[in-house]
Amino acid sequence: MNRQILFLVWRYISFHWGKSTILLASLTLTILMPTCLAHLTRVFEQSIRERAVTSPLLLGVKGSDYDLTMHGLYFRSGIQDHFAVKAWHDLLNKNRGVSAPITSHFTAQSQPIVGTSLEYFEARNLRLSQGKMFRHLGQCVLGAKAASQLGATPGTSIMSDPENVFHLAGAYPLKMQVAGILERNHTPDDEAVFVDLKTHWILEGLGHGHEDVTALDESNGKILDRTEKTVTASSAIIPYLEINESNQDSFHFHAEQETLPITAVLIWPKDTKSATLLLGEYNTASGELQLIKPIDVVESMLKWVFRVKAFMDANFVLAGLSVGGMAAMILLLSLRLRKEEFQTFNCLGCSRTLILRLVLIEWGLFLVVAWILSWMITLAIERLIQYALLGG
Amino acid sequence: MEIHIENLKFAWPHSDFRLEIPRLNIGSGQSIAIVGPSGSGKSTFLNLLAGMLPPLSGNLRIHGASLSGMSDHQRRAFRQDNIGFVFQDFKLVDYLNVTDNILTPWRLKESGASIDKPMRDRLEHLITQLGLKPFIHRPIQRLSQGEQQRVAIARALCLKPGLILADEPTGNLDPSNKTLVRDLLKQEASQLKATLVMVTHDRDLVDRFDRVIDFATFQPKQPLTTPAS
Repeated sequence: MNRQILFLVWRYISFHWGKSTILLASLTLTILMPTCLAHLTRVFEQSIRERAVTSPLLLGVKGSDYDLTMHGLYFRSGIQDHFAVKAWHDLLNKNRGVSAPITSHFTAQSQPIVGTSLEYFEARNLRLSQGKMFRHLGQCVLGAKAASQLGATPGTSIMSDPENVFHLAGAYPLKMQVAGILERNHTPDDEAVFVDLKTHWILEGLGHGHEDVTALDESNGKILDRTEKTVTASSAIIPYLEINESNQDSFHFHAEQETLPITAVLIWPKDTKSATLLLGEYNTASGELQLIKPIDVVESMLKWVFRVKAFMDANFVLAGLSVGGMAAMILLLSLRLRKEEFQTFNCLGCSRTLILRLVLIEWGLFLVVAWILSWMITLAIERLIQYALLGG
Repeated sequence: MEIHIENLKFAWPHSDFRLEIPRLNIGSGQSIAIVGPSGSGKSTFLNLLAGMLPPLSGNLRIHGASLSGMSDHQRRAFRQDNIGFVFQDFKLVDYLNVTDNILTPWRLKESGASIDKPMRDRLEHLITQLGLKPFIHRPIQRLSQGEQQRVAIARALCLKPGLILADEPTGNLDPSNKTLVRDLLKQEASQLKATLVMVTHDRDLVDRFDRVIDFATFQPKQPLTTPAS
């Protein structure tokens, strides 16, 4: 590269900085729009597809595949349909791979609370960065973003959000102790507050803990009736809002645990045969449950994304043509304005090819800088979106 | 650098202007003043010598090289290597400061070589000789006409040319500066042992030149045939 030409190019650009800035901005915008859209679509596609690929099968109540996928994989859609945890226990007995239940109805400062089992962490390869896995009722493990959003560290406590402030008979908020924090893995797991299934059932009001009514006397009004076999307590008995070592034994469920609800089961079959058998077993006309392949749902969703992208691309072609036309006009005007300067170079014996190189290098420089700038902006937007969605 | 001209003819297309020089020899190291009425072809003659215009016919040899037989590319290379030109309208580059304008001929060389020590010394010498030191970093637009003229002269002398062509370099100057610029050109040409050909309207300046050529004598009686006509 001729350093002297570069020098002349640089002096010209810096002297005419206003014109150069407009030109650079036009070129950057022209390159940015399609580059940014293509890159972000690719990143979105990659991340959403990756999650689906790592979640081979998903069991849930028959209904919307899309809602089930969004709920089971991304903890986004609050689905009402649930089924008994027995279905999961039956699945475990089939011994066709690893599976983990999912149930999620509550939030803690808008972070989804996900009831699951320890199998989930193993199957997803989630590792702790601090603390321990939950071992007792009322303990939780936080995703990295959830921990930073809640400002929680192991040993501290977080509260679940009340279901409805005006719904007095609804589930009470529960104070949960943070047992550990997961390493960041840039998936929806970063946002979740993971609890054991039983803790989630307590959040749902299906189980609770309170004073030992058998030890209370009738004088304080908390006991309405007492027989040899049963004790009827009044509403003055307040359930515990926190589970700790002293009261955890008092927590109990007023239903058979096999009947308690879950909303989905993630399955990692041990081989293709197991997957095929499971699909055959669950996807029958008479069954209440459906077994879906999340990747199929995601693929059909991505088709729509790409259709929208194709439409946007067409727009960008038009926009690019108009901005490109503007840039070409600026170039031609610039060449006309510089006619005198090039005439001077001619008079000084400069070769035609050198003048051509000078113009090409100048435009090449603009294009390279515009390309770098558009990529920097694209990556900044990606970071911004990642930060907004996943906390960095 | 000696110049030999024989039957040199030039005409602009679609114009009555024509220049015809039957014979002209200029010796190496001579200083020549060219005078003549406006439109007599003085500037055109300098452009022919510089290879910026190709002659219609005839022979033009500078230092043994025939410009008439050269391609445009060869004439440019010859001009860059051998000729320093002081233009009537200066032709300075607006986005370069004084120093960079002087160094333009070096920067426009195909080699793209860095400014070396001899070139820096040459630059320093020209800046000192032409009194440009106080404004070496100043933009060209902020210089007076006289100052711009001196920058144009420094640029022409930058690569130590064997032939210096000056097209009315004193046209925009006051009388004292006219003499100063003429003497500077003469002095630099003498130091470089270069041939100096200067066009001027000012007959008061020609006394110190080796020869004075009046271009009124080169007006042909018959119109020339041009390629376009």
